Amino acid sequence: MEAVLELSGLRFGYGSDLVLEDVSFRVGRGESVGIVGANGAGKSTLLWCVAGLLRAKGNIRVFGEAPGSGTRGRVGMVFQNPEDQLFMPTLIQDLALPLINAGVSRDAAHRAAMERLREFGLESYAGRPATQLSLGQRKRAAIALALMRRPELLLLDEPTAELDGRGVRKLTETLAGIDTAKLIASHHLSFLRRVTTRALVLSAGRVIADGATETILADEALLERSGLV
Amino acid sequence: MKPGMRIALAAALAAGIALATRADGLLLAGAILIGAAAHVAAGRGLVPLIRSLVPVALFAAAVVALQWLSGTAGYTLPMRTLAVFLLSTAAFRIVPWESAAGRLSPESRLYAVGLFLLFVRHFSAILIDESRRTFQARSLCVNRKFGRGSFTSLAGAVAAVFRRALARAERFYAAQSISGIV
Repeated sequence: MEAVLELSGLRFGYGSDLVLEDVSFRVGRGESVGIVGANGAGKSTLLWCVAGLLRAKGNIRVFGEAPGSGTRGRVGMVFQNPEDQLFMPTLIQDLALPLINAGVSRDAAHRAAMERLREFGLESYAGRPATQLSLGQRKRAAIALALMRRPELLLLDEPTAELDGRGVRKLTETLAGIDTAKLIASHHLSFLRRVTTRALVLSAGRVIADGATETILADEALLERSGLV
Repeated sequence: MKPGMRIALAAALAAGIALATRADGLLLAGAILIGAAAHVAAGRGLVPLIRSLVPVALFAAAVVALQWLSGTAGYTLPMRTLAVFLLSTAAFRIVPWESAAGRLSPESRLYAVGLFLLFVRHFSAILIDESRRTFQARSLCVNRKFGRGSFTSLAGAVAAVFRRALARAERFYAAQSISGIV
């Protein structure tokens, strides 16, 4: 399988405190990979490094390139708090903005945004600001936004945080319909079981297990050791 | 109110701002009254308006104190501060600038300004929300306004708001950067 992401010997720290140490793995095209780990294990930092928002030591290749301005349009990211992404007066303007900014005409960008909102069942909120949506709807809108530039790798940071059961179910359905490669950082194990086929366990900045999600999540001793149960 | 009327009113307020930067005495007092009246006419209650003036009034008081220390105490500069604040915020309330900024094209010279204003508006809302939550949390722990621990906790809350604002700003910038906006 062609790799969209390859990491080897990745290290990152704040001063002398290492957050990630010798992290190595690869993600194939269309693959959906979960990163599990307790709070502070380094999951979000890892996503930020892959997105090129933090500079790490070691080797990161996103589509064969070092992450940065060259890979930005090909990588989409959904932040834990959708308020970090949605700020325009209306939802449709939020979704159209990355396209307009990339030189697409306003009409075409709005058409594409409306199509995406329809796909996510949010078309009736197109003319409202994101602040008037429920958290679950905002999370789905943030995913829709991240998909606007048709990224080939989607990074999701704790997508189920603060969501209720119905919100998680809706999000699961949404993600199941997206065939883009996904790297999902979460400690919501039942959610990961449904949306990923492979899981990496991160503990104190190191990958301590990498395998099929079902196998990893069935290993009680491993989950106990990494602080997940 | 029709869009043309709104723009005419905002232009009048902008002219008032220009005038207030040069005027003093009764003219400045008049500008303050016009600014306050414009806010009320735009649907803002008097009490919220007075509340929003507290930080500006504190700033104006600090200006007076500094002037007094340098031996040039006067009332013009603090009054001017209040007048410009009231007139400019009233103009922003009257003009439908949010939708206009959202419609700007990247080729427009005003595009960056419009986006910047939308960023500021969004970030201000986040900051207000963070401050409200922090001070609510503080009020649950410290139930006396004055007394033991109140000032320490106030300093802690202010520092927490500052730290949270920085963290949110960093994430907001990262999100826009990933979307190719900045």
